[in-house]
Amino acid sequence: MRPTGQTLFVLAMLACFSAEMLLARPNEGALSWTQEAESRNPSSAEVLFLRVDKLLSLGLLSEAQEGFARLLAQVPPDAAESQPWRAAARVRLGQVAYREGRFPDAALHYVEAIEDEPPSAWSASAWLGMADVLLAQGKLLQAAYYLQSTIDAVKWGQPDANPMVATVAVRRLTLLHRLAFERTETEAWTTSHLVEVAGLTLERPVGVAAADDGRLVVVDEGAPAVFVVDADRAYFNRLNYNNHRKPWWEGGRLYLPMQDAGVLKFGVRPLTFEVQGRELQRIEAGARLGGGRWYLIDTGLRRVLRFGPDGAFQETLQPHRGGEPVDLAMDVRGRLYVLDARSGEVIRYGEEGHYDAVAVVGAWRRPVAIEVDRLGNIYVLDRDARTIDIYQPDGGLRARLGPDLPGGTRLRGPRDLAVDGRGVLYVVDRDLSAVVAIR
Amino acid sequence: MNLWRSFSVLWLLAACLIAGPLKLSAWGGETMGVDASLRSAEIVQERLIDNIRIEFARAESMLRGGDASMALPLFDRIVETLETVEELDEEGRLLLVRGLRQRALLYWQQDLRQAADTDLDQLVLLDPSIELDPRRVPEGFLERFRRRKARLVGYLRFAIFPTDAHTTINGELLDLVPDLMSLARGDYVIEASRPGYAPAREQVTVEANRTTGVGLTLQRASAVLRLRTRPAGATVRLDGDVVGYTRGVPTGDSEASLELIVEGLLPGRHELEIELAGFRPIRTPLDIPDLEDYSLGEVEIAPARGLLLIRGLPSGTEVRINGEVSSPTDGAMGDSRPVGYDLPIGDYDVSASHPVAGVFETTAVIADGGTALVEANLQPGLAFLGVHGGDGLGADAVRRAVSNQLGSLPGWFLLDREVEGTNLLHQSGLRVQRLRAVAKSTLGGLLPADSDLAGSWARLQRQATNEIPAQLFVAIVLSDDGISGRTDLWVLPAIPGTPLPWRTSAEMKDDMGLRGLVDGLTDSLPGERSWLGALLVDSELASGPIVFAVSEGSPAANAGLRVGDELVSVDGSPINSASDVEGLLGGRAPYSNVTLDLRSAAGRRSVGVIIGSSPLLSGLLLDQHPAPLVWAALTAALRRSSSTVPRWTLQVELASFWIREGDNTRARDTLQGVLAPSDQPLGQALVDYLLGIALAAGDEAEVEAAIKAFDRAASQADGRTLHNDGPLIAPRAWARLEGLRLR
Repeated sequence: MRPTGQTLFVLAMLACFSAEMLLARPNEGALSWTQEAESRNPSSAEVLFLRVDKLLSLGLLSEAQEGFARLLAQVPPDAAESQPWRAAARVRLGQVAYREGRFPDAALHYVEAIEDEPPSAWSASAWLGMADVLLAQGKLLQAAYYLQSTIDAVKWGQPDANPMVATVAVRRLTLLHRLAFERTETEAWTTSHLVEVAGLTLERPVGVAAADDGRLVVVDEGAPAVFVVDADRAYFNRLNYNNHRKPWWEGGRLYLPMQDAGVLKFGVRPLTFEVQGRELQRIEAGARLGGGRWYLIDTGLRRVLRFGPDGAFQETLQPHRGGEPVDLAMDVRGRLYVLDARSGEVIRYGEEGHYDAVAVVGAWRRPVAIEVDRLGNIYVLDRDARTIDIYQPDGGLRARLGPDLPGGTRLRGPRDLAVDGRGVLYVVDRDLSAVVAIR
Repeated sequence: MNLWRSFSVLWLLAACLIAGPLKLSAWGGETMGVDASLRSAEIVQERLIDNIRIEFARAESMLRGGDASMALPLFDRIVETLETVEELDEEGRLLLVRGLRQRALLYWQQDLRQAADTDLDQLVLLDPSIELDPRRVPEGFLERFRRRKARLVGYLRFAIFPTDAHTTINGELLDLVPDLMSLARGDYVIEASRPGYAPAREQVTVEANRTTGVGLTLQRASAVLRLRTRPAGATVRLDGDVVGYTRGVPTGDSEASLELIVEGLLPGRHELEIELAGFRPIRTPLDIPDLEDYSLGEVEIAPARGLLLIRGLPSGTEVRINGEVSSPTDGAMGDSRPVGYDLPIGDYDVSASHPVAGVFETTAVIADGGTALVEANLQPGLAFLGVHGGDGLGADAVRRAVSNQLGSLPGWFLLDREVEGTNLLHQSGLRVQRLRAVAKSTLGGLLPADSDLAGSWARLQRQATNEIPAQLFVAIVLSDDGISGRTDLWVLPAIPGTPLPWRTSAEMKDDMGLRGLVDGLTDSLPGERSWLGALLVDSELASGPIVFAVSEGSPAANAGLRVGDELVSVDGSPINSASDVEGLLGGRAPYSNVTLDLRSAAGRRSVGVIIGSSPLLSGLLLDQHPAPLVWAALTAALRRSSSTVPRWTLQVELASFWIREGDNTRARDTLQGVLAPSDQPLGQALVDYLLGIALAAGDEAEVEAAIKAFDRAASQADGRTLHNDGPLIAPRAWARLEGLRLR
């Protein structure tokens, strides 16, 4: 891995994209929190927490994990000044474990934050973390309970609890409401419309990604530009276009593959990847695990390639000789779903990158994009059929949408799709010059 | 005895004169009281008689040796000495008789006839029935004696009926009335009397050497009633009039009285009453058929008693009546029926204590033949160890506040142990000044274990636990010995609670910390709340909360709520979020009716729901109250015999408390006997979960047991904590289970 010297994007965007809301201190942004703590006389527990948390924000997960464990060992639970930093450390440990796919570990940290520490502003985050673990485990009923408890914890609990935590919980519950019940597509998605943002006109949109909260990033090769649209559709930011392909969000960060220039990770320099001394030239899509490993699809090589956290090539994932991987997606458990256009399958790989199963066998004409939501539902976009097939986690077809969508919209040239935290589907239609939202 | 008193001085003089060598100086110069004088006079007489006996022996010895001339002066002294004594006892009288006889004989032998006659006359008058032994006196002397006697002594023949009548001669009672009695010549008054008879009297003149007869036949005048009572001292009434009192026997252990003779009774029906304070009076009709003697023998007067019945005493309760440990005379503790104590009438302090159930104190008034029923609601004791330091007014104000606020504290019995408390604090070294110093130098709350006072409080805990049957001890220290402005409330649990006290300071004008104490002892207990049995969640796809799950057998299931239903309103009040529902239903009383408006794909409908009831745990993990109070509240509720809270929920709360306190052994021991429902959301799953936590920190075998416990808890999908709609147990159990497996 080496820096390419590509132009960095506007630094002002950093706060918007790099600050994971759930990792922030309750009711405040991480930056202002640090400043505030330094301006007063914080307890030793707070100072220790802040230092360790900085390591976490820098992506040094193992160091941060050690630091939080040290805090728990050093700060006695019955000392008044230790509150709420012990609970905060446990929540952070849970979040790190979750990002690394160690769900039992994460659950234990969250439970200990809930039960073994006094109630604090961090309690709601612990409830939410536990709910996410349960969602990842497919325990939807239990997750729903914890999500509602998260909302209650914010509403009735500590006054300085982060209201964003409740917002996220409602979003998750909305997704559950939409998809957890045995519904028909007409009940789950009842309408569709073109996403409209004042002042934004799309020309030939080809890629879309949706953040959990509904923010969108749209790649428009006609503009050419990359547009980042806020969740309320009230404003957008325009980024320079650099032959980008399918964007994705991971851990609150936006990643933009560049066909000939690696992957742009917001907040750091663009990264390039090489295999046997040759840089990848046609990066179509990618994903990044919590532990830092990368999965990229190179349409030139027709391979799914795995790279280590340091960018070093590790192996090729290709169960089918002669396959044609066109897109990939990752579920909350860190399992990888690869859409193979030639075999007409969605192939699932385990957390360690080993082949797991054929998750879906489809009858598509030209599948081009895949998404997996938090519940493990799989969405496949068929460009020629102008349909979106939605499969349950066990591979059973739940619904087929398109080309005529509920609400009257007719797909004409779909290229990519995305799904946000509420289960709202977004399809970029090159011929409609629009993003279609299906609710 | 009065005579002795009158003549005590005389006797002293006589003793001094006669005894000569006797050592009487011990009395010299001392001022004696009357009793001491009497005792001294008795001693003087005894010694006088002793000396005379010795003198007598010397004189007789001289006679036997033929030395009559030497013996006579001795007999002179003996007779003269005895003649000065007015109240001779029997031995003195015999010595005088013998002295006169010997002196008369000596006079006669010395031919002093006149002197001999004088002594013989005196001898006969002294004992008219005296005879001389012919073998031991010369015949001439015997003849002279007989002549002298014939001149002075006559005989009286008695004929008195009834024969057991009391007969007196010149007022002297005859113990036994002889047929014939020797008497000095002269006039005599003979009187005879007997209960039930009219007394009779006759004056006779006894002439020398002649026999005079006296005949008295008493006339029956009334019937006679004789009786004794046990015990003595009773008042006897006949036909309403007091006719006598039964007197006690002066000596002896018998409680029975001397015989009371009631005369003046006429034949017919009478009403007899026998009364004695503290005893049950006897009132009985008495039929007197004739003018006869009647005896009731010994009448037993029963003490006036009543029955004290105490209900609600568990087996093993120690009952003290007026401070004495008492066993019931009827019934058995632990039975549903009350136990009885047969008690004399009076007011009683009754206390009961049981090592588990607690204490109870009351007063009871026992009336004769009455029954006093006491409902013993044994409750854990809250012992007030008093107000220490400060002014009297301030202390009184504190006592009033304690009485008002703690006296009616539900579930607790306030024991006023101010006296014992003062001693206990003193003996434990908890002086007021030390307590004040610590209060000034430390924050309130639990006393730090390294405090100087920690050892003293531990001593107090040991002693107080042994001596006072209480669960919690409370002492209040005033801030100043003058006018106090602040109070320190010290609260210490009994063993096995923490030996460290909890302290709170407050202004005198405020609640003195008592409100916090009351809250701590009541809030920590589990209660009851409503139960719906449906998981409602918020969703952006609906305006109201969505039914996400319905617990099997729950009120929601019974009412027909279905997954996917949107809740629109509760009793007509619009609902926007699941929190609204909690606000509306959470406060409803169990078993109340509510109407829910629901919306689903099939349309809108209304259903009536009967809200269910669920135990409500207090959520000890929230740490709302000081540990000593929480512990005391829980253990007290467990000991309470009539707790309305399910026992298993108290045990679970207590186990949670021990877990929070880090005492997993006690937590495990508490949980292993818990019988929780397995068909309710709040039940066995929580027990298994807590058991897992308590065991997880143990050795390898315990960890294995913890894994099994967590596994059981994780497998109970609808298991809850706090209440039936509370947080799910299964995810937590799974998390802890995986954590153990990873370890």
